[in-house]
Amino acid sequence: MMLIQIAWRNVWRNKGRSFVVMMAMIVGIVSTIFLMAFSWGMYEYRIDEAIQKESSHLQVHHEKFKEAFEPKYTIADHQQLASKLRSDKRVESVSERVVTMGMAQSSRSSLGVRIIGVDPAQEDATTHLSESLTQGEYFTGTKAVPVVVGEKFAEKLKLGLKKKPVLQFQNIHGEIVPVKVKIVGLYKTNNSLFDQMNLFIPRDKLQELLGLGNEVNEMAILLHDSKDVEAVKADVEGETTALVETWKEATPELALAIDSFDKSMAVLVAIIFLAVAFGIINTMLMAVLERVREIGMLMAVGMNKARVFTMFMLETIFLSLAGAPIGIGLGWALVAWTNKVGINLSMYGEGLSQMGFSNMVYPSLPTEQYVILTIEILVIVLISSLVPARRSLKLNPATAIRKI
Amino acid sequence: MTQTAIRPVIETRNLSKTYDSTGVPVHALNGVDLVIEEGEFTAIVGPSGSGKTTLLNIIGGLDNASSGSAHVADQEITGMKESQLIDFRLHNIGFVFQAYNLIPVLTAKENVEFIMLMQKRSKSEREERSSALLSAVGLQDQANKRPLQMSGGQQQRVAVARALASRPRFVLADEPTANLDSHSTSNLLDIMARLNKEENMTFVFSTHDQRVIDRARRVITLEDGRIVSDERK
Ligand SMILES: Nc1ncnc2c1ncn2[C@@H]1O[C@H](COP(=O)(O)OP(=O)(O)OP(=O)(O)O)[C@@H](O)[C@H]1O
Ligand SMILES: [Mg+2]
Repeated sequence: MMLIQIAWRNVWRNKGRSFVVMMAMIVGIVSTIFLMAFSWGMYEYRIDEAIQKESSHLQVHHEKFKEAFEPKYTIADHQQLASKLRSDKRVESVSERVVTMGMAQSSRSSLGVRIIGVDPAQEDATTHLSESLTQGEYFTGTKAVPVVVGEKFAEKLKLGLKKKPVLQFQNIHGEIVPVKVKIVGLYKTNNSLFDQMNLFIPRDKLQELLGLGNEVNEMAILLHDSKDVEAVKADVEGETTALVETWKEATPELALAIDSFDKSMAVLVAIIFLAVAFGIINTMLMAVLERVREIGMLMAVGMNKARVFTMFMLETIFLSLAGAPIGIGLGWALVAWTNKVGINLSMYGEGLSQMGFSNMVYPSLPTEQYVILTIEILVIVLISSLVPARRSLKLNPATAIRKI
Repeated sequence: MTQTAIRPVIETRNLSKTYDSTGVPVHALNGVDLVIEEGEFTAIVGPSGSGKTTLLNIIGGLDNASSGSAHVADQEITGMKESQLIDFRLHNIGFVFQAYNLIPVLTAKENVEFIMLMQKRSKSEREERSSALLSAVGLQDQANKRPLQMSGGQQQRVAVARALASRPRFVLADEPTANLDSHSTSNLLDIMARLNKEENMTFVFSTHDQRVIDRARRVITLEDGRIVSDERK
C-alpha cells in the first residue's frame, strides 16, 4: 500500500533528525541489553553456583533449630525421610548433617564458626565440596579429627594445612567440649563469608562429641531441576513435622540482594525505555507540526482519519525500528565480547564477594531474553506511535488549508 | 425532450458564515445565493477579505455554513458529519490550492495515483489514467520527478491532473495561479480551459489576477460576503 511507501520515505525527509532518533534507539537498546546481560551474568548464572555449592535447593531443620542453633533440636526419623527422598527421581542427592555453632582457636586468635558434621560422600554429592578444594585433600584418613576449612578462615586465623586449631562448643547437656582438629583441606567458594564461617568435620565424630547418637539436625536436598523446588518442598512437608525451606527462604540475604538488584535494573531499563520513547514521541510531534499544511491538504482532498492515523503510526514505527536491529546486533556483540573477557568488579570491594557474588562478572543473556526484549520494544514503539498519530487527527483541514 | 435538463452541480441558498473564533463576530458571508451548472468555467473575484475562500470552502465541504443550505453534487452537505464530508470530498470534488498541493515524498505520477488509490480504483485504471492526465497537462516526461524537483507551474499542473484523477463532479481552485509567473499562469489556464472544453469538466476558481478573470466565462464578484455582480460572457 502506498501509505507504507509514504511513511517510509517521510522517515528520511529529515535525515539529521531521523539519525538522532536512530542513535537514541541504538544506544537505548545496547545499554538495556548490556544491563540485562550484566545482571544475568551477575546472579542468574551464579545463583546456580550458590545452590550447587552452598545452600542446596531445600533445607530441612527442626522447627526450633534456627531460633538458637541448639544441636539438640534434631529432625525426627531423618533416615526414613532421607531414604524416601533418595528414591525420588527429582532429587539428585541428600546430605544429612549435624550443625553446631562454636569457636575456633589458634595460638594467636579465635573466631566464631559453624561446625558442620558431614558424611563426606553425601556432602560431596550435594555441595561438591571436594571441587572447591584448593589445597590438601578431602577427608583422608588421619588419627586426629580431620577438618576441611575455607581459605578465608585459614587466613583469619593465620593457619595452614596440617595445623591443629581447637574447636569449642556445647554438647546437648550444656557442657563445653574442646576438640583438637587437623586441617586436611582448604576450600574456596565465591562467597568469602561462607568460607570463613563453615568448617566441615566427619559427622559421626561430631555426633559423638555432641552426645547426639545417630541423629542429625540439618538435611540439605539438591534437585536435578530448580523448577521442582516448590513441588518437592510441598511433598517433604507432607512427610515431616520439621521445617522445610527453599534456598530463598534459607538464605534470605541472598534472595534479598538478588531481588533488590533485579528491581534497580528494572527501574534503570524502564528509565532508558521511557527516555527513548519520549525522544521518539517528541520528534514525531515536531514532524506533525511541521506538516500541518500537508496533512490539511491530504484531509481536504479526501484522506480519511484512519489513513492519516495509520500513516503517522507507520512513520513512527519505521523511524523507531530503523535503529533496532543495529542496536540488538551491537548489544549482542557487546555481551559476547564482555562474556569472553569478563568484567572485574574487585575494585568495588568486598561487599559483592561477601554476598556470594563473584568478583568477575561474565555478562550473558539467553536467547529468549532477546526475544522478550524485542517484543517489549515493539510494544513500546507501538504505544509511542499512537501519540503523534492522535495529534495529527486533531488538525482541522479548513484551518490548516488557510495557511496555504 | 431529447436532452436532459441541465442540473446545477452547486446550488446555495441564503448561505451565511460568521466566524466567532476571535470573540468579535466576523460576517464572512451574508446570504449568498449561487447556482453553478455543469460545464461552467467560473471565476469568483473580489477584494481581499470579501469571502472568496470562505465560499469555496463551504461549497467544497471543508467548512460548515452558519446558516443557509448548500446542495452540492446532488447532496445536501450542510449538516453532514465530518467523516461523511471527507468521503464526499474524495468522490465529488477535485481541489487545487494555491500551494502545497502535493505530497513531497511522492513522484508526480504517484501523487496523481494516490487519490485514485484512496478511491480503491484498480491498478490498471490508476496506471492508465495517471499517464493520460500527466500527458494532458504536458508533464508526461516529468512523471517520476518529485514536487521539489519541479517548477511551481509544473507543480500546479500536477495538482490539476490530481484534481481530475478522482473523476470529480467539479474542480474547486482557490487562487491556483497566485504563486505563478505570467507565463505559467497562462499555461495553467490553457490547460484548465481545454479540460473544461474537451471533458466538460466544471471549474470554479477564485483569483485576483485580471488575466485570469479575462479567461473566465462567468465572473461572480463578492464584496463583504455578498454577490455584487454576476456576469456571463
Ligand atoms: N478562521 C477565521 N476566524 C475569523 N475570521 C476569519 C477566519 N477565516 C476568515 N476570516 C475572515 O473572514 C473574512 C473572509 O475571509 P476570506 O478568507 O474568505 O476572504 P478572501 O476573499 O478569500 O480573501 P483573500 O483574497 O485575502 O484570500 C475575512 O474578514 C477574514 O478575516
Ligand atoms: Mg482567500
